[in-house]
Amino acid sequence: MAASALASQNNNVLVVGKGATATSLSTGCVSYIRKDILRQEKGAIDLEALARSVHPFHDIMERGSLALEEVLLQVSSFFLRSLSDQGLEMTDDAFNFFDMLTNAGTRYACSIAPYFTASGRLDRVEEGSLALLGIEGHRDLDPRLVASMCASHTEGKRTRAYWRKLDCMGRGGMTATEAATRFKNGGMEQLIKAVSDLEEDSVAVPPLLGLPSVQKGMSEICSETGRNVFELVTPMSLPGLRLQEAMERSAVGHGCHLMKNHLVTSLEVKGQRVVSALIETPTRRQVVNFNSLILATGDLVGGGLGLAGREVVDPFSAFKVGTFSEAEPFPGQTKYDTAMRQVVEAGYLVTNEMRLMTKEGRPFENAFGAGSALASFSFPTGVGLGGELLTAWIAAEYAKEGS
Amino acid sequence: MAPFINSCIRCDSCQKACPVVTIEGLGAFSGPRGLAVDASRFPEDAEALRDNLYKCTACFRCGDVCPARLPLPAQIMALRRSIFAKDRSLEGHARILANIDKHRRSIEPAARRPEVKPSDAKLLYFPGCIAENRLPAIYQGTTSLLAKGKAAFRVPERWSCCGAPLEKVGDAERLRMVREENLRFFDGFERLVTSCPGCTTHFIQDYRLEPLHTIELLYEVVGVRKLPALPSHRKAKVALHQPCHLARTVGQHVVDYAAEILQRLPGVRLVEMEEADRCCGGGGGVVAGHPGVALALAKAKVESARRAKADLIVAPCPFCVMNISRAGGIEVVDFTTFLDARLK
Repeated sequence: MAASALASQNNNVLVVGKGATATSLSTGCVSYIRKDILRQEKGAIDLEALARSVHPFHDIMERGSLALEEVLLQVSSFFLRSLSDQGLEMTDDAFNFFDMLTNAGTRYACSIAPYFTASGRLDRVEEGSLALLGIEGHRDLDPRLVASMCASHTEGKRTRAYWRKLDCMGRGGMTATEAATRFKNGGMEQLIKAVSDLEEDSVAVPPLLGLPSVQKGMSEICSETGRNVFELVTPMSLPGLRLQEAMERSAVGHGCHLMKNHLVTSLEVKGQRVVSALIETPTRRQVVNFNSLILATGDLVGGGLGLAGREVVDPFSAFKVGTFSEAEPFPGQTKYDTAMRQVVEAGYLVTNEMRLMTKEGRPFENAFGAGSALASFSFPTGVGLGGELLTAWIAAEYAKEGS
Repeated sequence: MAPFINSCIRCDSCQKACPVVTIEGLGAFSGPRGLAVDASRFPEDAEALRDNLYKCTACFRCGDVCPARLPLPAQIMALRRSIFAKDRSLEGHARILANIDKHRRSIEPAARRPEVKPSDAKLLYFPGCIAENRLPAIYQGTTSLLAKGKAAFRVPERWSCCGAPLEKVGDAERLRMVREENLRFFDGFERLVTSCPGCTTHFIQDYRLEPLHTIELLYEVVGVRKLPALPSHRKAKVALHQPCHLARTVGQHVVDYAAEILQRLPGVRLVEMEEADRCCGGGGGVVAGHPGVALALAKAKVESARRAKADLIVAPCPFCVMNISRAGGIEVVDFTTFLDARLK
């Protein structure tokens, strides 16, 4: 996001990365909003409430020089346009109960999601008319599990679970990408037939289409069957990979140079400036000089931060790591839960302008942090990527001054 | 072993990224996590996974996407070493071992091999088994480009297979033998260049040498971008395949070099191929051990190129050229061969 934003303003941007990004491990949805903080008008989002509900960034914004509402509009507008250019139409429709449905038993609430996922389509579900269609071997949607979740949460909404075998899928369990590959061999016709045979008006299916074909494919299924067909968002699945691919393509489209599969192993710091990075592949080493650095390396689980004993540490040994505040125990929380929270919430400490800080707490002039590497912005299950995008945008805003 | 196993966060990223899982399915192939993490818990039972272990193409994609940065490919190779026994080798692997013993090449040598002229040039060109014996156009294209760039070079009068195929088979003893031989044969060079990214990687990781892949040499040293191009060659829409060892172990920058060089050629239009860096099946000893898996991956690559409406695939790796060609349906050309035909 930061790279795209900078490159779109004619900055020379190099993206270096390795490993799985939070985006690719996500549900492919962007923000987490609680139902009660949304306005009643459809599609309208109470931005201040959004900020309060998602992350502590409302506090950052109030203390910073950027106006929250203005920035959020800039971010979402740029983001939606960038993805749309890559064929991934997103919706900012208001939160819908059904967004919480996943076979993992987790609660997802997506304010910005692809049109063909639950966020975009479930508002059209009529009472008692939802079919949950599992594809044998595809591990991303267990319709019975989702149906039982529905039963415990819905009031009078009838759902039915179906398992169907698609010949193109062959035998055995399969990953999401594997399913998408197999689906290319005649899967569309078979799925259309399977959906047509169902009685329900709305049908939820697992993600089966990759980025190049998803928009057209989902439209085709809907028009051929006359049903409201949509994907259920699932974590670490195709929607997240599609979002990652779309963002990558967008960055390249804006002129970024990507160095995938490269690892930044050390940084050279002079005073309060970071001047160069050592980049490595398994066989090559290269030093890159730059004017500004944005560190969006991911959280502890994602490999961006290190662990020494019980302490979360900065692998570059250059920046201050900690939490924004001492974690207050929730009612009923054990000591273990509190300790765990402190570890999970630890990350790079930044200023209002997303500037990383020296270990002594002095802000760097040209080094910024963004995303789940920041304290309190790690990516626990169920929280969307809204905060990650916003911090990236702010970091880019200040980084470009020195670029 | 324990820290390795316990560091897996079971996110499934490696399973999703694995090209063999995509082709074979988890029913027929355990995938990187199944092999490197789960099977590592029971090393004494690794023998039972022999078929599974040799389906891995060593494409390094699993290691690249692993958020915990586990060296999954290296672990799979370690398991292969642990179960290696010549008399129990897969049929294709037994042929590799026999060829090494008899000819010091991983494949049956061609009846006519390029003539090697003695020289005291300090740039040593190591063509590798495929360019010398199966795809001599790569050998000719490379030496021709070096001559056009006025780079004095020599080919070693004697050499053995670099050993990369032996590493994939798991034969540590023969691997040590060819390494010691080559280090003797290579004596007296300042810079080593290879046609095959597998050789480049192996010389770095196993021999601790600092070779360049041909594209790196042509771009960084020879200055191939300044060589004049032939004016009116036929127009071609080219899909650039990104070989695993080139893109993931040597580095993405080499692929970028290749793309830049191709884009400068008159009449050449690069088309974007879906998953250009997905393995074609040519590596890991899979062509020899499980040719059906290698062919299925090659077919997927050809389908991607056809969807991109490419006229031909350019692949900067002899193994990839050979394997993708097996799928048929589209012309497949090595990078140096393609380039040499278009430069004066």
